[in-house]
Amino acid sequence: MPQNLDNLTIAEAARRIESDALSPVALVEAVLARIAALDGRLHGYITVTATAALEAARAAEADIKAGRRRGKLHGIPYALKDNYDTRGIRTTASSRLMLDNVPARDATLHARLQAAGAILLGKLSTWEFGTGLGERQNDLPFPEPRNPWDTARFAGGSSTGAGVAVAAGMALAALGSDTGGSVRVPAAACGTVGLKPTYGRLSVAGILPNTYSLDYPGPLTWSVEDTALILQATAGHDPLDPTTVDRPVPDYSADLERGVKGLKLGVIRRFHARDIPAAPEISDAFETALAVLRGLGAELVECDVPHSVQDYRLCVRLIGQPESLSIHEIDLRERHREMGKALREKLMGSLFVRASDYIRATRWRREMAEATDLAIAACDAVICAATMLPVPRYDDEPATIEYMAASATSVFNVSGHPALVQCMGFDGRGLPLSWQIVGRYFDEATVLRVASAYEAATPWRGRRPSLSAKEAAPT
Amino acid sequence: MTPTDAKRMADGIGLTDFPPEDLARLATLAANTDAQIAKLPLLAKPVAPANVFRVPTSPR
Repeated sequence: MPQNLDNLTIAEAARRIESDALSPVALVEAVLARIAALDGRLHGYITVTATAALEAARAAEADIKAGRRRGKLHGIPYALKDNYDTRGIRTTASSRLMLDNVPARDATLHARLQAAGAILLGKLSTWEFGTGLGERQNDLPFPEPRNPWDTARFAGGSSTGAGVAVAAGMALAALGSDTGGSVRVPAAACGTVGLKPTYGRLSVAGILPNTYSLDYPGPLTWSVEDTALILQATAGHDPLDPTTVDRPVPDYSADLERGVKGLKLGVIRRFHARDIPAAPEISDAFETALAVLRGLGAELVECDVPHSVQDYRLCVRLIGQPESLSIHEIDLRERHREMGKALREKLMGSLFVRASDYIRATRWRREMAEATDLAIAACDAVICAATMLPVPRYDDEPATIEYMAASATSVFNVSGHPALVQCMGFDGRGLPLSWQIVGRYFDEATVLRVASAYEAATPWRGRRPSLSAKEAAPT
Repeated sequence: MTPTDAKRMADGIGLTDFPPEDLARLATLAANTDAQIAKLPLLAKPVAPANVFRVPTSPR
């Protein structure tokens, strides 16, 4: 009897592959079939590398049968945001400026997943060069992705295709990048797990930059265990990226089942209670989710930081804008008509940031990071809001801009702490609600431990978008 | 910033093909950026930037 391979997690697929109950070829064929059935409407992918994926799956199957299994990711299909360099495969950053760009090398994180035996399915939609404030992205060369929970709804950004693909079961994992929330907001809107690790934990080498000092690569997966597996395979020092830190990589799966009993968890309420009042459904779900952790034995303590969400966003903006202009200045002068409006207007606004203003923002960043760390370091981990409004319609631009602005994700791009977004329920429309779990510097293990305990105690991972191939036919 | 100022600014950085509507937009964006910069706090002089230059280890 054929297996139902829809919506397998990495961990479950790996267990079946290890016990010879699942072939990597069957798995890759199943996910490619799902992409073929669903992506005509969801638009998560820019490029699907089906032939190469099937060839890699056959090679993985032969290796595993010959006793050369490399580990849990061997034979597992994944996808990359289309700003990751992939040797011989077009990498566009969703930009007309890059339509002919075929890299000669692989991004470090892609190379590490390949070395682990994972199988690339293709390249995923992104806002142009990872830039945007929530504006419509309907002037780019590729269609706007749609949210699998409701295709009339926004899917977040800028790693939009990554959130869509993982939530819809069109990839078991995806790698995105996050300058102010670009991994975590799509994860929140699409109900997946999304991790922005500590600054310097993952290499940015071979990822087209949005900025030089605020970009973080990060995985999106369906489960916390899967995030641990992807982080394990990708973390560590990279001589090609001088911002990576040369320190040991712990076993990220070791503590996943240890629970939270005895952990001291700080709760920051100011972001969603004072700075940007959250929708009642979200603040109610936040309190309910906290009660779950309390019930599991965590000690919850009030925690605060001296800066508002708006302060952190301003800091990201005034550092990020001039850094982006430095990246794209020649293109702004010579090819601005080929740019989408969001990128073009960001760069135009950047022309008026003086050097001393930029440096003042980086000095403020240091002060804010130190103050944020004082709060976080006093606890084992900290909980706060992620996005504070219901997921809006994708074509309601004022609402999508407001949705992006009403998020507490940029806080940790400024401070550098690891921050994970996780589903904490669903609203009345059936759309995901999410929170953030934040750790001490380089303590992703505790973040994953808390998230895993919450995930195991709640039913949310059992619920998937109800898309069927029939429903998802192009309209 | 007036559209005339914006044109002078655009010309100065080589953006010579901006039509009037883009220059008007540039002026709006400039005003918006100025408003954001005005919110930056004053900091004590010893507060150095977060991303100061670090000397790498020389290979042996």
